[in-house]
Amino acid sequence: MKARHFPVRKILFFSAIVLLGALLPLAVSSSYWLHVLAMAYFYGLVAATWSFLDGYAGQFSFGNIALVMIAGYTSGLLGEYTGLPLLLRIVAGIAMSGLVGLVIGALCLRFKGAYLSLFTIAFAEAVRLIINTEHRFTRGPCGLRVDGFFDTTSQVPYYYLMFGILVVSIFVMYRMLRSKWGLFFRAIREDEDAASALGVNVVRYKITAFVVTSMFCGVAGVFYAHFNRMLAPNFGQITTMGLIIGMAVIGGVENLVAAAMGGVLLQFGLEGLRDLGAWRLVVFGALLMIVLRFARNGLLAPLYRKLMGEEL
Amino acid sequence: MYGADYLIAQAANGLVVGCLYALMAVGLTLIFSVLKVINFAHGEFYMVGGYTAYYMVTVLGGLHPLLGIFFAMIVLLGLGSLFEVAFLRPIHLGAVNRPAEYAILITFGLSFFLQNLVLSLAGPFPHRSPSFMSGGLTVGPVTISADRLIAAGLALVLMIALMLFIRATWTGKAMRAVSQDRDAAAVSGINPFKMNNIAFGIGASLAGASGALIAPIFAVVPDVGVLPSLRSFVIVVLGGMGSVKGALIGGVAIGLVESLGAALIPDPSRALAYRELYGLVIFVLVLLFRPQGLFGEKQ
Amino acid sequence: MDVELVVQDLEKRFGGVRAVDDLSFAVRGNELVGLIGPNGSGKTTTIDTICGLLRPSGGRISFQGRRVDHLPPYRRAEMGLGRTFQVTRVFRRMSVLQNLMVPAMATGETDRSRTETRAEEILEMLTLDHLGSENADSLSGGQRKLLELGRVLMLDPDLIFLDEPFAGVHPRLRGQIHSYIRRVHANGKAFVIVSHDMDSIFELCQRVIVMNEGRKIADGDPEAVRSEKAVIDAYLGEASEREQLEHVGSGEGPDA
Repeated sequence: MKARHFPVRKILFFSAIVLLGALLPLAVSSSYWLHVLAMAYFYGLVAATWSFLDGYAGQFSFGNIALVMIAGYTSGLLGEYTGLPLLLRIVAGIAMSGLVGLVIGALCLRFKGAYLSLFTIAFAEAVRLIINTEHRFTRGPCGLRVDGFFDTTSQVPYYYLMFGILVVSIFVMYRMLRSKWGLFFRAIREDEDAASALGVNVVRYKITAFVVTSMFCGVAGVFYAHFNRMLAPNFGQITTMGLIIGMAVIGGVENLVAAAMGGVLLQFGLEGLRDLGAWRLVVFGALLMIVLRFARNGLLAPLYRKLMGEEL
Repeated sequence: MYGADYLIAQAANGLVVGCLYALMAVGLTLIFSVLKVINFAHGEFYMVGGYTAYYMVTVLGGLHPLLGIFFAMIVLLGLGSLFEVAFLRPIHLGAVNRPAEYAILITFGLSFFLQNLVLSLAGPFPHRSPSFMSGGLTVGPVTISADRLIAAGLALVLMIALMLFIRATWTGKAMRAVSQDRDAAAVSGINPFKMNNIAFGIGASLAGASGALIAPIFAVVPDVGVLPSLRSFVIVVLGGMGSVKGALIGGVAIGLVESLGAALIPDPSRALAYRELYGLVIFVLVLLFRPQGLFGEKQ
Repeated sequence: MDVELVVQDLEKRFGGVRAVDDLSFAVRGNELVGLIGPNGSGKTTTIDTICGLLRPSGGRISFQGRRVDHLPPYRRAEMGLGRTFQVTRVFRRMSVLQNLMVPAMATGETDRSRTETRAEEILEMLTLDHLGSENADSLSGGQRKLLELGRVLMLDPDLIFLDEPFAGVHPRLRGQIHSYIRRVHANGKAFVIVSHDMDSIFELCQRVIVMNEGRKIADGDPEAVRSEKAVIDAYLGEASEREQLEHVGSGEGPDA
C-alpha cells in the first residue's frame, strides 16, 4: 500500500521559485531588465499552454499565438471603440479566445495528427492576415495602441502583475492535470479508441483541453497587450510560434513546469544575447533540433523528475 | 465589375503560376508518400533555392540564370539528403519516441533554423535574380512575361521528368513500392532507407527549383517561403496526400482560384491579401468533407 | 445485475466486403461464451461494432433492454460493456497504476484513494503489483495482456469481451488467466471470449458461437458445435485448427 505522502520537496521547490520571483525586483533595478523578465513570464505561460495541449492531450497545434492575438485584440479594440472598463474587456478577451478554442476543438475532432497541425498553422496565418489587412479597423501593421494597467512608467507593478499571472495560471493548470482530467488527457494522447472503450468521453475531454488551453492563451494575450501597450500583427507570425514551441520542447513538453521554465529562461537568454541579432535564433533553431534528436524529453524535465522523484 | 478580358488575363496568369505551385507541391507529396512525413521546412527549401540561384547568378559571377536553377537543385538535393540521414532516419529506425510529433517538430525546427540562418547571412532585404529573358508573349488580351512562361514551362518539364522517373526507372518503381508498403518492399530486396533518402532529396530539390524559378519574378526574402509552403499544404491536401497527379492538378486549380478569386473582391489591396485566404478556405472544406483529397485513396 | 445483450441482423460492410453479415445472437445471464471462427471470419469486427468503435451498416444491438447502436463507445462502456483488444492497446507512456485508474475514474468513481486501493488489489491478483509505478511501455507482451484484463476489470462491466486473451501468452500464464476468468465469472460477470486457442475455449465456455465469412454458422453446446458439419467444413482450410478442433477436451478424437 502506498500512502499519499506530503509533497515536501515540491512545496519547497515552488516556494523557492515564488520567493525568488518576488525578490528579484530588489536586485534588478533597471526597468529595461524588469520589462525583459515580465516578457519572459509571458513566454513561459504560452509555452506552458503548448505543453498542456500537446504534451498532455497529444494535440499538436500551431494556434496558440493566434489565440494570444485574438484575446489581445479583442480587449484592445473594445477599448478603442467602446468605453468598456478594462476589467470587462479582459474578461471579454479571454472569453473570445475560449470561444475560438471551442470551435477549433470541435473541428479537430475531424482532423487528426499532422492534419491538425496543418489546419492550425493555416488558422494562425489567417488571423494574422486579417488583422494586417483590415487596417482601417485594427490599425494593421502600424500597430494598435492599448491602454496600460497602471498609471505609471515604472515597470515594477507590471513585473509583479506578469509574475503573478504566470504563477496563478501554472498552479491552476497543474491542478487540472493532477485531477482526473490529466489522466484522461493522457489516455486520449496514448490511444483514443482504447480510452473511449474504457469509458472516457473523448470528444468532451478533447474539446475541454482546447478550451482550457485557449483561455490561458487568452489570459497571456490580454495581459501581454495591456502590459506592452501596443499590439501588431507581426507578433502573430509563425516565427513567434516557433519560439514558443521551441521553448516548450527544450524545457520538456511532457512537463508543464519544465516547459514554463524553458519559456522564461530561454526568452531571458535571447534578450540577454540581443547583440547577436538573428544569429541567436540560428543557435536557438540548432539547439531545438539537437534537443529533439538527442534529448527527446527536453533538458529541464529530466532534472525536474530527478529533483521531485515523479513526473508532475 | 470586371470585363471578360480581365478574367481571361487572370485565368492565364493563374494557370502559369499554378504550374509553379504544383512543382513545389509535387515535392511535398513525394516526400509524404515515401517517408510518411509532412515536411514543414518545404517553404524554406524553396527560399534557399531562390537565394542559391540569386547568389550563383549575381555574386559568383555571371552564370546563366538557367544554370542558377540547376545549382539550386543540386544544393537542395544535398541539403535534403543530409537532413534526412541525420534527423529523419531515426524515425524509420524506430529510434525516437512519439515519431509523429517528432517528424513535425524536427522539420519545423529546420525551417526555423534555415530562415534565421539566411536572415543572418543575407539580411532582411529583398533580392531579385536577373531575368531569364526580357519581353513577353501577347495573345489577344493576355500578356505574359517571358520569365513567367519560361518558369512555368520548366516546371512542367521537371514534373513530367519526375513522373517518367517514377514510372519507368527501377529506382522510381522501388520508391513507389516503399510508399505502398515499406515492409513488403524491404523483404523484396529494396533498401527503404535509400529510397527515403532519394525521395527526400528529390522533394527538396523540386522545392528549390520552384524557388529558383520564381526568384526573377518575385524577389526573395528570408520568410518568402512561409506562404508558398502553406499553399503547398493546401494543394497536397486538395489533391490527396501522396498523389503526384493530384498535386499537379491541385496546383493549377489553386493558381486559378487565387487569380480569379481576386476578382471577387473590389478593393485591390484586400483582393491581394485575401488571395491567400481562398486556399485556406478550400483547405478546411476539403479536410472536413473529403479528407482523402480529390485524387487520394480512402484510408 | 443480469446481463442481456441482443444482437439482431447485424451487418458491417467495408466497401464491397461484408465483414459481418446478418449476425444474430444473444448473451443472457452470466454466460461464458466462446466466439470462434477461422481468420477473417469477422470476430473482431463484431466486437468493434458491439462496443462502438465501428458503426454497424445494418441491424440492431441492444444491451440491458436499450438500443445502443447509436451510442458512442464510452456510453456503452458506462452501461457495462467492456472489452480488451486483439493487439494490446495499453496506454504506453502512463504507469501501470494510471492505466487502471482511467476506466474507474471515467465511469464516475470520485474517491481516488479507494480506487487506487482497488487497482492495487487487481494488480496483486494479476501478479503485477511490483510494477504499479512502471511505465506500461516496459511490460512484456504477456504482462500487457494481463494489464488489459485488469483495466477492463476496473471498468467493472457486466459483459466483458476478451479478444484473443491467450495469444502470445506463455502457457503457464494461460492457466492463470483461466483462473482469473473463472473467478470473475463466479462474481456474476458474463464473458464473450474470442480465441484461436481451442483448448481454452472448450475448457472455459458453456456455449460456443462459430463464425465464418461474417456469418454465424453454429451456436450452442461446445460438444454439439464441434461435430457440426458446417463447422468442420469452415475449418477445413485451416488444417491445424481443424486438428485442434478434433482433439480438444477428451483427447479421444472427434465424436462420431
